[in-house]
Amino acid sequence: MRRFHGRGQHEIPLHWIFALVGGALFLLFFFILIRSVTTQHEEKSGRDLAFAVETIVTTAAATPDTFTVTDLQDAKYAFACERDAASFLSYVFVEGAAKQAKAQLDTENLRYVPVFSPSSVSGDQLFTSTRAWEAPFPVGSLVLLSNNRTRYVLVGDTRLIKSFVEEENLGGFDILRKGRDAFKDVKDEGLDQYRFVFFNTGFQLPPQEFLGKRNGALVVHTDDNGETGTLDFYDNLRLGANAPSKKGVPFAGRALLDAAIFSQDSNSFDCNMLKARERLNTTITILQRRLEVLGNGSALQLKCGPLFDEAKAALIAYSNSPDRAFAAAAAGSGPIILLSSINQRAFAADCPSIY
Amino acid sequence: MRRGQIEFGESLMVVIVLVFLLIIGIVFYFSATQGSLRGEQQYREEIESVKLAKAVLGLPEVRCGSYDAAGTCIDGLKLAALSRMLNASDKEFDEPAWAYYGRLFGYATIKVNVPPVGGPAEEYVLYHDKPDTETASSRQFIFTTLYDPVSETQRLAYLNVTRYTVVQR
Repeated sequence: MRRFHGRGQHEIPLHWIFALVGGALFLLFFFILIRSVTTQHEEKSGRDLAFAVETIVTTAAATPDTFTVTDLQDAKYAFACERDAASFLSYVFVEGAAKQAKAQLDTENLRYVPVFSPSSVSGDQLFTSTRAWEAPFPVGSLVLLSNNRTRYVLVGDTRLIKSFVEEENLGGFDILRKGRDAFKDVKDEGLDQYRFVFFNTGFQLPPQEFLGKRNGALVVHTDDNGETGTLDFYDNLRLGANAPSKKGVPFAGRALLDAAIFSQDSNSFDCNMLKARERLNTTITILQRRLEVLGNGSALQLKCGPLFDEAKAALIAYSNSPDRAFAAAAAGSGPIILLSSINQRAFAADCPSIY
Repeated sequence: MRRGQIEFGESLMVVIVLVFLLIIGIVFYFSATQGSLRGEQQYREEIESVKLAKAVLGLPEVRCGSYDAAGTCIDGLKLAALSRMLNASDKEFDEPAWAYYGRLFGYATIKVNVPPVGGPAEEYVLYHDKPDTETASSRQFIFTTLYDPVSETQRLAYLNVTRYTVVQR
């Protein structure tokens, strides 16, 4: 009896120690496992979402003149284009509503895609539309991005507004046509953002409920149905802000007008337009070399040579000063208008196109 | 040997076996995670190569103009001009253009192949940059047409895009 008691004194604590050590190890293992799986799932979810958005944006750029609605996970998607003297930083940032999954995607792909959008869009849908920027030849694709929580209020010239919405296939976006009534019956419906666009009419400060919330406005001055003209940007509307943030920006081509309307502000517009304009010089060089080949020793030289020479001179003037060419186009003259005219004449004369 | 010593040894063995099983579990779990990450990486590489092929086909620098043949054809003269800018060893090689398109395309070989249908087979190398180190590659083909603006004819062609990824050791 004493012997049994003595053995029990040793055995029972020893088994408990083993059970505790084993149990603790098991608990630790499963704790680490669950924590690791949860973290990895959240990270992967954020990465997948950011990758999906990046894929949507970059593939949209490759298919001009399309409008697409994409269903995604409910989240807040932020888009940014920042620039310094040397380069751009372009990224999409996704913040998951449910699991706080965060992911930032800063890729070389986005760095080359001009994306005109609000700084952030919330919800489970993305609307994308792609415009081919032609000045007058195709230079690049501009991606317009928004969703059903951003409303565009169009004020002013009703004829221009009608053609803008219908011809540009923008009916899928949340657009409110107000004509000349300006803000009559326009109420803040709790959306994330409102952007006011004034067509050939002066700027009017929207009612107080629309001030703040990063809402902005754009005034469009155009004499030719939105093909060329100038733009005044009013960034971050607030009480007493009646002066434009940027005034008299020339545009040539409806795609640029669309891009300005969908931009968060003038800085975002400038940054993304610089991305688009990087291709301009290469494209001009390619067209010059193409014209040289077309003209060299070809049977076309006799019939089309003068047109080719005229186009070469216009391309040289264009490449020497693109900014001057844009400003001249807004005034209805200059190399951009000339190239467009030469191309039409080439087509009429049964010559190969200039671009 | 005393019975107490034997039972202590048994318990110790149980703990050792438990620890051994846990280690096997951890190793298995992490290798499965690594495998899953590799799979995800491979999937993304495939998507990236599709995106690159689509991006090349959508380049306004090589696409036909609106007055030319309709559809997503490639203008032969534009293709030749861009190809010379990126590949020529003479003065036609354009350093800024190479830097720009080098960043845009990354490590890749981009060719336009014309199969021997209604004429001889042709191949145009638009861009080539393959890293010296060990690489994995994924390839995409997209059918299109190659337009000759002088003769105003089109031939069946395909875009042949190979994207390289440096293998991490």
